Amino acid sequence: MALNSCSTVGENLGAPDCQGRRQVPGLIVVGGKEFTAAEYADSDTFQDALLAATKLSSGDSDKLYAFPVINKVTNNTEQDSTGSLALGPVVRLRKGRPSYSYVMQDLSQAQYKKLLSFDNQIVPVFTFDDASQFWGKRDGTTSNTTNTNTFKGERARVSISGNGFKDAENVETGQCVVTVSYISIDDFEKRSAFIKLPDLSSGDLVGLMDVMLSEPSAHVSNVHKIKMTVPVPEVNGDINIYDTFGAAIAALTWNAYTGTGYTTSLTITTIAVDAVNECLTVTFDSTAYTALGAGANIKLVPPSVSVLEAADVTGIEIGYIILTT
Amino acid sequence: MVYASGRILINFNEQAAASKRLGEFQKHEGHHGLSKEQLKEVWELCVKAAKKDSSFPKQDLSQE
Repeated sequence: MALNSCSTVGENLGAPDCQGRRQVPGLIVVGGKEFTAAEYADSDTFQDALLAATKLSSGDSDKLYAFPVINKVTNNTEQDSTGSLALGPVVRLRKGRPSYSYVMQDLSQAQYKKLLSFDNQIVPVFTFDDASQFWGKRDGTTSNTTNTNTFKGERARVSISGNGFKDAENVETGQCVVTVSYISIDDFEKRSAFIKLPDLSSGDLVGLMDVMLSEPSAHVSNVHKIKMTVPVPEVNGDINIYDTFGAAIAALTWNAYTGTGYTTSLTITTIAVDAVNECLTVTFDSTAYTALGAGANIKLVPPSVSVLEAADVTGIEIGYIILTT
Repeated sequence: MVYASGRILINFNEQAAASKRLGEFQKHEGHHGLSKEQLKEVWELCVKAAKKDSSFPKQDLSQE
């Protein structure tokens, strides 16, 4: 028996042909969704689950947010730290930490403001590359066990900057730059996993627009006027969605709540379109409304994203509003 | 139940409508611009829909 411990070093170096590797990122998707083994059993099932996760309501821990398309990739990964003694070999002291900057070209100020909600946050990040490979991580498993762990994003610190004025000299000036700095080199190297999505296009993953509810005029007793708009940085540019979706949304179920924690239901008797003022007329049960007294708060909750999608009202999420009697 | 006619579209809460007597319903929903006859028609439809829920109590259609 040889006097060494080489038997414990290394492992077989063979690998199947045509297995993938990281290519050029085209899109990142951020959020806490963990795909189960059933969901990643095949690419069609996974793609359906991915799209569904992007259409969940805000506040859902499984919601995924697709960022705008990437137009330039810069590798900011640190060089390994090395050192050597005068007569000795170069020794790697510390691995460089992986980090990438992505330029997202010509984003509107409205979209940039939305991206800022992720600024300086540590979040799970999935990356879709130009070989149609969707990258994330999957935890390891014990020996002689098929790995059925969930497939989730790789934790990274995300920072958002840019979108200032251009300088008429350089295309890159003034663009939005999103930097993704991975937290764990070990995870990035040893736990990275991917799924091939040959039918996915980055255009399939478009974020929802936030619709804000407001009261364009004072209520008359139990009858409130409710306007639905998409706020934008352009002054006087807020987009009223009444023309596009007013009737469809009025036909869906809304809910209202009062009391501490807004846990007591308040009946809405009718929701009607107001074609003159381009808003909705929401009427609460007059007896219950009167019983609340003046100055009471009512939380008016619109239909959820899934209900809106089912009614072909797509691409938006409507926030709630607190009304006062 | 959705009532639609011309530029009018009103989503009536069937249970809420059926819980009121006809006269009360006509009074409280009078701000939508529908006639009393139209409101009566809507109310009857709401009561019919609400009655499909077997636990809902029977309403007297003749009361005002």
